[in-house]
Amino acid sequence: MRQRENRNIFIFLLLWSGLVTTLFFHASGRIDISLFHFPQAKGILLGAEMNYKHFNLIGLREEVYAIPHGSGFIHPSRIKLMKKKGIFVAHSIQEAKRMVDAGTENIEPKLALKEKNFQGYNLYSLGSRIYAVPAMHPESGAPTPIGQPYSERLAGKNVEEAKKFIVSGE
Amino acid sequence: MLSRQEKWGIFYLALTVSILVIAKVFLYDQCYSFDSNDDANHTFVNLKAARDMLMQWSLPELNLYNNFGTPLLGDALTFPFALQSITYWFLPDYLAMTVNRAVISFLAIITLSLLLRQFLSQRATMICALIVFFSPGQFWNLAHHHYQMSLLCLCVILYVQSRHASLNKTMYLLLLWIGYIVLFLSVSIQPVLLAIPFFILFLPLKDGFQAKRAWTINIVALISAAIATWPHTAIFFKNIAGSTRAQWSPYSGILSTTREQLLALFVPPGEWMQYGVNGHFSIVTYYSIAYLVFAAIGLLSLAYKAEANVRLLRMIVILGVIPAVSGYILQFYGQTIPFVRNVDSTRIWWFSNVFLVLAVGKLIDSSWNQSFHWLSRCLIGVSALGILIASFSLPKLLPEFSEIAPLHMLVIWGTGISLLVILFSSLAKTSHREPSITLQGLEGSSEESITSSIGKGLIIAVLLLAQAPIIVHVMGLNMHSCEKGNHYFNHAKEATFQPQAILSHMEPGYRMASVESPGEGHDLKAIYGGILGSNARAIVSSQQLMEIFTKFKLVTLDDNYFFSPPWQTEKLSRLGIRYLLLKQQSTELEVQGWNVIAVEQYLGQQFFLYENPSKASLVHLLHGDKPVFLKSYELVPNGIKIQLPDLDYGGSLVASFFYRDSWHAWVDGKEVIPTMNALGMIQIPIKPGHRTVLFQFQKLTARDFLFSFLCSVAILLITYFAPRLQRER
Repeated sequence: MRQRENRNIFIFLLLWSGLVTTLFFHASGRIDISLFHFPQAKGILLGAEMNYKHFNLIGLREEVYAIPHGSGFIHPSRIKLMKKKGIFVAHSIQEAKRMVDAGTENIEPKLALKEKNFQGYNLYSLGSRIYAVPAMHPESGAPTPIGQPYSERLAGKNVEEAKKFIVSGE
Repeated sequence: MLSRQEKWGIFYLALTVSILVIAKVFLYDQCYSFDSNDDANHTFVNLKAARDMLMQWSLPELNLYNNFGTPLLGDALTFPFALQSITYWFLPDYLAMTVNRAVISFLAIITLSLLLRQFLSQRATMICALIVFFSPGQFWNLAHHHYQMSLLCLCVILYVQSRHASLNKTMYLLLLWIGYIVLFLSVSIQPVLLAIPFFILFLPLKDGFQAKRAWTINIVALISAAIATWPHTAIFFKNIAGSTRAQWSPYSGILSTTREQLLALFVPPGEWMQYGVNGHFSIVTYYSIAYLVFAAIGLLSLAYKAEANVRLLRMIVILGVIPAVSGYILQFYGQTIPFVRNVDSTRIWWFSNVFLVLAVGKLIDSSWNQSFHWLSRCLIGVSALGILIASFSLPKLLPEFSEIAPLHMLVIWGTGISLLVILFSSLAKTSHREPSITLQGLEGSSEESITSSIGKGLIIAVLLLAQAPIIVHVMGLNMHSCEKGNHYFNHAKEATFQPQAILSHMEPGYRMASVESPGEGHDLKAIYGGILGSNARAIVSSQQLMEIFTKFKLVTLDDNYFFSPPWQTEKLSRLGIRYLLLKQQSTELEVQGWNVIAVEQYLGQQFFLYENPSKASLVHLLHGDKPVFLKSYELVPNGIKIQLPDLDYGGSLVASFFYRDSWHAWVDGKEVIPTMNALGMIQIPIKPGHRTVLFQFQKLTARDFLFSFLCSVAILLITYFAPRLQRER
């Protein structure tokens, strides 16, 4: 009986030592153990505009959520519930307003991502034009001081022109 | 009595844990185990201020160097008389904190094991000790001076309580009394208050009526220790009542829906919440599905043989389940209750886990064969299938968990499979001896079926794996560096003012303000150069002073507040602010006559040090409107001594320290009553012929402590000689 208990202790300490050693190696960066990788939630909820035609426009990371009054913010992964509650997902305040005006998220044309974080701006195409929207900080997901968060700005007719426009800093 | 192997086993476990908690110290150069925010900005600087005063044989009552004078005694973070403060007398701050964390971890595992071993087998004791130690709240706060002794003190005191039968009564009383005194002086008042029900209820729940006398002695020790340390505790309540912290809580509103609050029990919210969750709330609510399910099944198995386990079951429910559930409810639904809304109620879990984990330990120890009622078996089967089926449709059922780490999936599957093994083992018909399920000396069944051996091994492996997210998150093991950004480790240089060259440009005995969030700490760490800071970052920083500064638009509120534009040079001068530290040049200041006297760079950031054209000092005379700044003063413990020039006019003498009713003033040895000026500073009237002024903050004297201590000793003596207890002795 005592022997069995000692064997149990030994096996347990072996398991524990294995975990400690693995954590040490992982912490050192010499061996990257993917099992110990954990996602990190980021970003902040930002009131982009309140009370636009009975909707609140709330920014989170790169998206603007148009939320009808009386409904709370819903986790962005719960797409079905968001649709049920009449929440629209847009890439800028202006796009969110276009959705609210149209009463649907399915408007045409819609902002379509062309390039992410070019010198602090995300580039979107909208019809035949390119629009720049300030990108969020890549690590924290919070707005940067580069410009009015979630505000779209016409930047050119194509991506190259838009990039020149951003570089010129106009 | 523990066998030699068991002692070595516990020693090895404690040693590996203590090495693990300071892992990066071994991996990275100049890396130490301390937090650059709470530790470096608060504990280190306040302990330095306290040590300086103690070395001059004065009670450390006020840190003159912080926020126009911040109370030291009764500050929720400093604890200059704590047991863990001793290391700071001998070692540099960053090393003292590193040593403290390692030593406290080592001792916590030892005492936790000794305590749990009274109820569990050695194997179950070890895994349970790890679960309690690495429980998110306790492990996160092991980093902090004012919390790090909480679990250790609880375990030591409960262990001593449980030894009432083998200890001589004098020793029993004395050990408990000392234990409680150490607790009151070393641990923040909130965890102390939360721990008190455990200290009171543990013995009666464990030993019932047999422990009546031991319980009486325990209560006497608790009360007399509370009396001995009462001045220390009372001053905290006085300080906190008027503090900024009494008006708001950083702990509410983070998980706002019931769904989020429930999900946070299974996967740390910092991994799946829609927005970034800061600080300990990114993990603190995490229990893991394994812990919760195994604890529930453990309770079921105990309940099945309730007659044999009635005391243990009662103890787990009263000291484990009820506090855990209450802490959860109060944390999320107690926002309307005064006091409760200002505190983090989940801190009760640091202690309730010690008891809740016994249910898990009992599950590992018990013979699963015939251990469950048929209804429980159905429940286990349904849970197992439910968990396994749910795990495969997780993105649909719980979209929030659609991107959780693979390790959590392993824990979920491991839990489900373990439940199936428990179910099969409980149905198997083996003939082995029933285990002795009593409070003491449980050794498990003599024989274990292969299935249950595998199942128990699996449970232990799953529980160990479930600790990994916490260890990795809390210690920042994914960062692969010792950089700022994790509260467990930092480079030694971050423990002090950086860039250091800036300090040499300022004259000691004058005041600065840094234009930055107080968490950056320049204001607080300026004490190392003998410079006084202005910004507020303390639990006990005054609400009244904050309101005055806000009214005059002098500060920006940000945990707590810092001085910021628009600059009002005249007011800054009257507050004795001679230097301003900025991260960028300011034409606004330059227009008002401020001069840049130093520009330094640190980690790619430029710092500009500006000097006030008035060269404002801590003391000024007011005769008419214009202040005359005096330079002939000396900072003394808890006060300031001023040599006045020959005066041929009367007026007011203002010292730029925030007025509190404990400030006293003496002019040429004669006491006068100080008052508060419009900016909240202390002032007294001055007449021609006055020569010296002493302002001293005096709330407590050594006599107060001595009186309390003597009262406490008197209670001990009365108890010791009490006829009933003498009979027992």
